[in-house]
This record gives sequence, structure tokens and C-alpha cells, in this order.
Amino acid sequence: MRSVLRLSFSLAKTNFKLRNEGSYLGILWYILSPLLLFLILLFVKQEAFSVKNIPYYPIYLLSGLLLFNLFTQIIGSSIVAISSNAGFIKSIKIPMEALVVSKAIQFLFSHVFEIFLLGLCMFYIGLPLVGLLLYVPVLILFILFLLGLSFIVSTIGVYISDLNNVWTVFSQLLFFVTPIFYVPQMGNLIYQVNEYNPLYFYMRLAREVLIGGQGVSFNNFIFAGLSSFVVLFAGIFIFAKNKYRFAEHL
Amino acid sequence: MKKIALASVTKNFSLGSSRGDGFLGRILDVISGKEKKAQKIGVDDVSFELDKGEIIGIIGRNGSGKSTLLRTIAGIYSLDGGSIVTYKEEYKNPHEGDLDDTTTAPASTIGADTPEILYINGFSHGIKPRLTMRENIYLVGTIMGLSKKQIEGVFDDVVSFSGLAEFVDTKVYQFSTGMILRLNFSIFIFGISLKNFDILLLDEVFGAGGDIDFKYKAEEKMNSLLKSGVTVILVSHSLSDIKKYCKRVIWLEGGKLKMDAEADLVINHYSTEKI
Repeated sequence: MRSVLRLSFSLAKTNFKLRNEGSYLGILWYILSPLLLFLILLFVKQEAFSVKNIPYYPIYLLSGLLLFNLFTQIIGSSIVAISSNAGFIKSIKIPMEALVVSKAIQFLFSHVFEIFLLGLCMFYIGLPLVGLLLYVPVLILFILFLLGLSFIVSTIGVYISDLNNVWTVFSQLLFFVTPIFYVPQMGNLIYQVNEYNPLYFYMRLAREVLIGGQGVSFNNFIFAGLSSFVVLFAGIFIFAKNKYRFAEHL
Repeated sequence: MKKIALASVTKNFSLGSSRGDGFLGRILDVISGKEKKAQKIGVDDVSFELDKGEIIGIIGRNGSGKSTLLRTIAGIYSLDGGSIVTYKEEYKNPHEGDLDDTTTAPASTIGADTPEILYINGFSHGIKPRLTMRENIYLVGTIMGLSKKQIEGVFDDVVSFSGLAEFVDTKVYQFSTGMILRLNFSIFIFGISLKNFDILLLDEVFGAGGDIDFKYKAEEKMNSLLKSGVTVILVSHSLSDIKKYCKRVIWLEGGKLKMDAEADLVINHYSTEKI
């Protein structure tokens, strides 16, 4: 367990450093890329949509965008976490869990930068920063959920390499189906689909604590916690059941 | 004094369908009714035992199952048949010896305390060219299972052994091939000696590279590591290296154990059959 975490941190640190290594703006890109996307969407919304007013729209949009980013980065990289390390796995015995866990840690690192950006925006708009404090437990539950899902998709990714292609399309679909830059109309199809969208569930929870509005519902918190742990343990179980077969399939 | 016991170890690989793994290929297989999967035998009914401190070599042609066998022992591949038992402490076989003290060594002790096993194939694993040498030593050390403290303790030795002290904060992509080989070997050799592995499974790790001076130094270091009382299985195509370190050699052919005897004898048979 300790050696898994140690290796995970080490790999996460390495990949974090390497991601923007050699670029002129370096580490600044961790803030720049979400910021630019945020500004584009903000501009498009103002120019193209005439949806009714959403209170604190910039925070609504930014929080949705950041959680969506975290989701797609972690899951997308987990799908190939095992299958892209074939040579490594066959050449030296390492705890393979670390390859998956390191992805979650790596993107959690970069998410911390994005939270600064979020805090800055909240301060500028005049929202109480207490929301950020309440955001921490939501983030922890979300990460545990993602970790569980990562274990599942990395296992499937070993056997079915098509998953990576499916994912590219699916993540695009997810971007439009999940209410990131709009509010779903009660009763329509999008609304109904999102009743079963776990990403939207955590997103709603995050917005509740960040923007406040109708206050935080305790029940949602309990439900989020429960589903996080169920998915996490399911993921760990599936991964552990299959990991001894990974090497020969790579 | 047993350290590893293998009994009829078997490992098979399915080779997939004859048309490859694509979706179209699979559909064609189903339509044509030919979806039988081919099987390749990796290791077939191999049994042997190894005592503590023993160094044995495994030789055989390409594809004879040498690496597969080591990976199966290391637990990288799962077992399809037979059993592999490794012992942390010296273990006396209750059926051996004349006293009927079978109760003192119950079978339940087997595997209760698993030994530290290292399997490594070549050296160059985990080195990231875009990181500095310092960062790489920490990274590879962690991959080998060392703690930060342990790496700190051995850091200076690694650097001075590699002879690359002036490049510690240089990024590795600017190193020459020889320098990278030196770095790899140094991290590896100090990592192993620090970790106190019980069993080493070394797959083609000879030829540290580098110039004459380094080669000599590396050989000496390797020698002292292998003679330190650790249990070792060596896989190599270099018969001279096998001859140098191993008293006993196992010859695999087509996944089967062809010969298990004194090194000179096996190597003689192996090299004469080649012709």
C-alpha cells in the first residue's frame, strides 16, 4: 500500500513536470488552457445564446468546465494507463495500481492550480470564498469516484483497445450533454438523461457549495459519498481480479 | 535450505484468432466458423528446486520460455498449472531428514512471509530523457521500490560510481549512449544492494556498456553482488557469463526442461547441438 502511493506520487510528479516541459510558458499552461477555454465559452454565450439569466454565470460555467476537465483527463489517461506501459510492466515488477493512481494524482495537482483561478473569479464577482472550503470534501468524493472508474476503464482498456477510440467520441458527447454552459430545461430529454449522469451529479453538488443559492442538501452529500465508495471498491475489486492477466495480454 | 521450488510449472498463451484481433477479423472468424484460438506453450511442465545462495543459469534458444519462466516466478504472469513456492526464511523439508519432526515445519508457513523478489529485464527502465540525472535517480529508485530516505542515502554512491558527478543537474537527453548506460547500471546495482532482495531474477543484464574502465568496475560490482549470498537465476545468451557465475545450468527447449546439470556439461551439450 505504501509503496503503491510512493510510486504513484513519484510518477505523477514526473508526468506533471514533463507535460509542459520545454514549452516557453511551462507551468503557466496549467492555468492558461482552462482560462482560455472559459473565456471563449463566456464570449460565445454572450454573443450567440439568449438563454435566461443564470445567477453567477461565470462561476457556474467555470466550475462545470473544471470538473469536466478533471473527469476527462483522468478517465482518458486511465484507459491507456496499463496498455501503454506494456514494455515497462513486462520488464520489471511494479505495483500496477500505481500507474492508475498516478494519473488521478497528476491531474489533481493541476486541478489545484485551477482552483486558484476559480477563487480569483469568485473574489472578483463577490462570492464568499467559504464555498471553496466546502468544495474540498466534494472534490475528495469526486476523486474517489474517478479513481474507482479509472481502475475499471484501465482494466477494460487492456482487453479492448477500441475503448480509447470510443472514448474520444464519447467525451465530446459528454461535453454537450452535461449542463456545463447551460441549464437543462425541466422535463426535456437532456434533463432526463442527466438524472443518470454521475458527472452532473457531482457538478451540481460543487455548484451548490460554490454558488450557494438554495443551500447545500445534506442528502446529496450522503448519496455522493456512498456512490463514491461503491464505485471505488468495485474498481479496486475488478482491477485486483484481473491484474495477474494483464502482462500476457499486452 | 530451499529457497524456490517449482513443480510442473506450466504457462500457455493464447495467440488470438488467425485473422488478428480487429473487430472485422473477429466477425470473419465467426462467419467462417473458424474461431478456434491457437495456443502457444510458454513453459511446459518445468520442475526444479533452488537452495539459498545458489546461482543458476538458464540457457536456451529464442522463444524457449526463459523470460516467461522468470516472469511467472516473479508473478508478472499468472500460472496455468503446477506450483511455485518461494521461501523467505530457510525452510527445511519435513520429509527430508531422519527425525520425524514433521510438526515443527508445518506447510502453513509456506508463503506466510513472502520474500522480496526482483525481476529485471535489461537496465533501461523508467529513465526519462527530459528529466535531469538527479530526478532520474529518484524516479528509478522509487520504481525499484526504494524509499526517499534510502535513495538519499545511496545517492552520492550512485553518482560517484557512474563517474558523472559533473552532470548531476543536466537533462539526460543530452547524455551520450555510454553515459546513459553508466547511469542505468549504477542506479540498478546500488538499488539492488540496498534493498536486500531474497531472490534475483536477472534477464539479460550483462553488458553494462561503457568504456573499458567502467566495464571492469561494473563487472567487479556485479561479481560482489552475485556472491553476496543472494539466490539468483540468470538468463543470458552469453555462455561465458553464465559459465563465470553459475555452477548449475538449466537448458530449456520449447518450454520444456531439457537438461538440469553442472554448468560445463550443459553448456557443452548446448553448444555442440547448435552445430
